[in-house]
Amino acid sequence: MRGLLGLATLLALTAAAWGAPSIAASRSHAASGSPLVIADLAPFTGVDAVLGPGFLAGCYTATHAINQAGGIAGHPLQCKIFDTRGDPADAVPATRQMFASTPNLVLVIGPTSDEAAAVVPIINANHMVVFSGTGQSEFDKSRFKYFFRLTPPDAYSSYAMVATAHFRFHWNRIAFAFGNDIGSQAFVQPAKQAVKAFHMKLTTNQVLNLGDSTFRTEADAVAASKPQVVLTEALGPTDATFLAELQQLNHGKMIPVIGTSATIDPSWYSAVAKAVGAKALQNNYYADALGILTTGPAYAVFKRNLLAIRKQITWAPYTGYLDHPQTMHFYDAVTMSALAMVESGSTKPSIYKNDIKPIANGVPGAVTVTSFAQGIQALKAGKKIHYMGPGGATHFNQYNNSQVNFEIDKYGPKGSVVVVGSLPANEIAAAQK
Amino acid sequence: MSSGTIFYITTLIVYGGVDVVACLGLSLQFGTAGITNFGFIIYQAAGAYTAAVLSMPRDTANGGFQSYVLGLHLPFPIPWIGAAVAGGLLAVPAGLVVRRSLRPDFAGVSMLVTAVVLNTVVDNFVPLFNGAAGIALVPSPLSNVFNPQSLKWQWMYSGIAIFVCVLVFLGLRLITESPYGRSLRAMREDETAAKAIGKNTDGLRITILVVGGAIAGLSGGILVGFINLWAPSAWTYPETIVLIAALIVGGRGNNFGAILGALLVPLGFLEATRFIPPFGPPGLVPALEWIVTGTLILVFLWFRPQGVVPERRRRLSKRLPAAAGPSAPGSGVVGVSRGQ
Amino acid sequence: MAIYIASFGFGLVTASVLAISAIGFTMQFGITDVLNLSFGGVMITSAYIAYVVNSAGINIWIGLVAAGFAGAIISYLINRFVLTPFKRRNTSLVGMVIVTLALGLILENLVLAVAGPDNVSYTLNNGPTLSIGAFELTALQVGMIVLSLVLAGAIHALLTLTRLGKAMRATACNPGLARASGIRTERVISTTWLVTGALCGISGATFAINSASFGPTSADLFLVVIIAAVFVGGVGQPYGAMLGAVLLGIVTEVSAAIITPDYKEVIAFIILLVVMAVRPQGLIARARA
Repeated sequence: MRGLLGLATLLALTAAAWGAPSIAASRSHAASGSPLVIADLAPFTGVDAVLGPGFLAGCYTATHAINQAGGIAGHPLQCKIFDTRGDPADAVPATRQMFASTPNLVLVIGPTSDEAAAVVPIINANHMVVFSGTGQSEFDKSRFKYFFRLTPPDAYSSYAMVATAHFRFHWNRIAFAFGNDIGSQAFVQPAKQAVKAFHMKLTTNQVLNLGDSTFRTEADAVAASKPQVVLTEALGPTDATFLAELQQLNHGKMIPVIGTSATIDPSWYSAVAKAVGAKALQNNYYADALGILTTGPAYAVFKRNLLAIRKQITWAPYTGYLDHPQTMHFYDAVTMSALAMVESGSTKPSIYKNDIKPIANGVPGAVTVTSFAQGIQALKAGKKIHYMGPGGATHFNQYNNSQVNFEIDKYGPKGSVVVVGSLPANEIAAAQK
Repeated sequence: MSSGTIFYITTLIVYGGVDVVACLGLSLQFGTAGITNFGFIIYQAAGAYTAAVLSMPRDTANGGFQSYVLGLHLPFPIPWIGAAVAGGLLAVPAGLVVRRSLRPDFAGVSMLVTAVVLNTVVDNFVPLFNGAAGIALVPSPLSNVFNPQSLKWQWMYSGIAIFVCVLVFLGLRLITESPYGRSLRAMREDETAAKAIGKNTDGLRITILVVGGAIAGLSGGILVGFINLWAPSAWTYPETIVLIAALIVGGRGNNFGAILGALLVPLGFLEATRFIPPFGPPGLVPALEWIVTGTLILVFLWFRPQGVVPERRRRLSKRLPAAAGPSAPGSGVVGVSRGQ
Repeated sequence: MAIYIASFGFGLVTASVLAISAIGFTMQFGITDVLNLSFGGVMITSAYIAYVVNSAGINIWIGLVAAGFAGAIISYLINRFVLTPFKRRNTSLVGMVIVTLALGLILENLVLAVAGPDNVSYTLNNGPTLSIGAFELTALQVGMIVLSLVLAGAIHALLTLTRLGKAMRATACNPGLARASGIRTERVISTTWLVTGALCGISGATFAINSASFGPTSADLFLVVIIAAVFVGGVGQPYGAMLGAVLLGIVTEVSAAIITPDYKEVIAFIILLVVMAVRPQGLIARARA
């Protein structure tokens, strides 16, 4: 029995040690001017370690803009990292710890395909609004009331990639090379379906094992199948290695590549550009992403605020986030949630969440606003608002999934993202049959 | 106390329970019997996968976005029993390999290699356990009693986790405090001598691998019922290093050391780092965490090889002169010999 | 058919990278009796040292030499300040493995902490592609194959022609007897760490050249293949390691072409199991003392 007693004592001590600061913190909840917290609950470690930081850049930018405009009812907003390490077994305690240690939590952004299935139910049960970064199909008809996503379903992104090859470039021979992780493999099935729908030819489907150090055989199989385009997403060093080998085996010529939106990322760019050469990448790479605006008033505000916080982005060149779709979408997520808090007069997720959809989708008679500052002015004037951020128009459906237009992006010099075309919903839908 | 804090505490209790059960199993192998198993985590994984596919409905009837074998939709506690059985069964081939008096370091490393390779297989062979995506929507046990997202369920599950800990602890006591346990320690200290006095060390070894594997499998079953998701990223080989670090810190060869180690290292230390305000570029803190874990192993092996709770010196050893001097290869698995 | 021939060529490249590391690993073990799991950590640290040199605008082949020095120094220090003290305390074989495992973890994460998680590439010139039919290799890859042949030859010469090599072999065979015959085994062991460390460092840089882009954890899975090659060849056997490396390098690549690339490591593992079952001492073995 001594063991049980010892265990119980230790557990009690553990509980006491960690319970105490939270109690103290929760008392200060009501204090005016205390910061409200937005949690970036995403991988910062492991193969998907690039994802969390990209979301964080969006959070920093949005909160800076909001705080400059006076915050929410006198409370500034603050972003906090909760690293899931891309491992569901780490993500659950990270989420629980987040709720325990963050009494002023008002919004969660981030959970990706690595952990969403494990943590979204918990977040929802805690009545906390979550904007997820997963494209997994199990959330296409999400039953979670607090779940929102601006990230397109993976299937939808796959259709867009194939549709781009079909409608924009009239390519017929197409090869797949996706990483063997959760996020990347999700694209394969729907992309196959789309290839069939357009009567194209899938020349080869190679799975890239992310831990491997070379992919020559895979690259050679792709080169030998003579595709006109390669569809890819393989994070970490994998795409860099694979594409460099593919280029070499194709006699130094890079085969055009269409990447997923996850490949529009400064870390991905820098690794691949170093491996295949910036010029080759610039000329042969396309990606599909949710429509983002890189001009206009909404973008100007985003850019100004990103530049203002650029010193906080210590892990990568901040320029890579100037046109990073995920960064912009999480910027939008934070901004529209903040506006919903102001409109509803509450930072309680159960209350303000009902205002997100009308603000994002727009209601008849609403004025269009492109920033938080504009939004609160319009709200003060007693108007209804429709927020249009740099991430483009939002259309939340009944499952809080947003179906929007896609854009075709390229990399410009030094990894800036250039929009070179767009893909309307009907063309994407054509891939769906 | 906010409900968030209480939820976190129940999470810690369940994770603590999982870690304690796993460490007890590893301690039986590594501490008591002297079998090195650097691939211990695969037995936890086997248990977790088995519990998952036994409790889940068929893959076609479950949203259709994942594929996995079985899907028998069995009620609690059958999936947990299945988890323990799976962990034990997976240990049989290991037991057969380690039989041939393989050098202990070779045996340990071969288990490490096996763990890495099995992870790759599960990662790539999608029909088995849905590949790298892992299996989601694993039902919570006893969800018909309370809503799994309610505090009542959390407390109930914590209670069950502690109950399993106590059960495993008492069960292991029966083994370690019996003449059988003496045979195990004899094998650990000097296998040739143990054989000479008629102990079937191959038999002992395979039994202990199976029992330890079953315990690890059970811990996986508890964990997966709580987090409802299991994927290859949850059982990479460094997870075993954390458990070994726990034993080295806590103290090998005794159950209290294993329990203390489990509470100090995987639970205490790794959870405490969550409260460190993040600094530096993202990913720096986890990197430092691993550096500290590695350093902890080295520091303890050097300054306190017996761990915080040293193995009790058995009365018998008072009568006999302690085995001294440099240990021959194949003996003295416990880090540093008693010669110093 | 063409792809099989091509994959055979890639297998040769993989084998040459694998051979350098496997020789280093197996000699380390054979002579010092430590199964050094920090080998992968030293490899990747050295690869980053070469990266630092290369980023300063210096040719990668000089970077490779720098990596060799870095590997030698790190390995020497590890032995001098960690492994030898632990050995003096009669730490068990398994205890030593745990020590090296911890060291590997520390090294890899130090790199991660200092260099960050982003992946990097060397600036280098692949050179012209030489092709004979479907058999296609770049000049750089041919260079790596030549390098590994040269290093293997050098190790052969060291072991058979020099006094040091003799002393190494004697120490590997029976350290007690070697000491009794007047060989300063401690010094031989220190030198072994320098030599094998240099091989480890060079293999780290060739590994990084070979994979075009690498990060702090890139060598994790490769270490498993190294261990498989070493065990297939016969632990502690430099010639066995070469044989094991060639066998595994070619079989994994060709199998990737014939079956599927997903299971390269699994194929390596199956070969290991088959060899262990049929010939547990490895392909090339000598009676151990």
